[in-house]
Amino acid sequence: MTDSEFREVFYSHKDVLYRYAYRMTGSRTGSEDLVQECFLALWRKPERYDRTRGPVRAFLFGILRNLVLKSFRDGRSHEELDPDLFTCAPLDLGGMERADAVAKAMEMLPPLQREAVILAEYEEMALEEIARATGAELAAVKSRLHRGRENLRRMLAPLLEPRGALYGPTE
Amino acid sequence: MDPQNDVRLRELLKEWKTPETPASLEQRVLAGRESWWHFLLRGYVRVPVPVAGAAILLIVGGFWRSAWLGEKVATCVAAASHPAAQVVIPFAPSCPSDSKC
Repeated sequence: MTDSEFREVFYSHKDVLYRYAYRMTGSRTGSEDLVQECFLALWRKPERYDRTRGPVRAFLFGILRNLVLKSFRDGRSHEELDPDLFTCAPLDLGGMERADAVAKAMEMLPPLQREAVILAEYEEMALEEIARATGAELAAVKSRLHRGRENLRRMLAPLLEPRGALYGPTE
Repeated sequence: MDPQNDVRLRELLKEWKTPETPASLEQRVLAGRESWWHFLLRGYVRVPVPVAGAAILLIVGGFWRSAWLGEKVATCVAAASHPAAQVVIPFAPSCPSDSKC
């Protein structure tokens, strides 16, 4: 891979990779470290990328995803990345800004549910794309997305009430 | 599932914005691909404080020890080049009175 090719890849994909890393980790410095490691992995071993298997973005995303999930595992079992019976309790939103409440709720989700929500809601990927990107079965992606959304509705319930519902219609 | 609830959830989720990709990332990635000789000349490494402290102690200890050994060597060399004054004692075996020496 030439220097100019690498630069083009970097400028084309750095933003989407950083957004994913930030939404998964909630940390600016952590995200920067992970994205740097991802690009340098491509630079050091460009032969690992096979053009016939898909676009370079998917390749970079796979590397970044592995780095992110590895940082979460840290001795935990794989099942704890997406526990079947995990149910989030409503958050105490007292005084919290709406955006901060969403960030907090996303942080509370199990990693694989969080990932499914991020890719579907923020990166607007189709379910099949998410399945391909994450190496999961389509049914598993649907399940994670459904449970993730359910947990978010539960945690953010007060913010999801229709405007005026708490106080009734005004006459 | 209430479809309206889904729409409201989607709208609420969109309120969470991510920060801009930091400019430092460009420096870290693009500059991080230096050749090895360039790295030797201009690169830097991050060293944990305990490691740096241990390295400093080793270096200081090494200097101190070499200085101490240097003094000892200098002392030995000085002694060898300037031997103490010698007193010559004629060899005169003592013979018993009844023997022939």
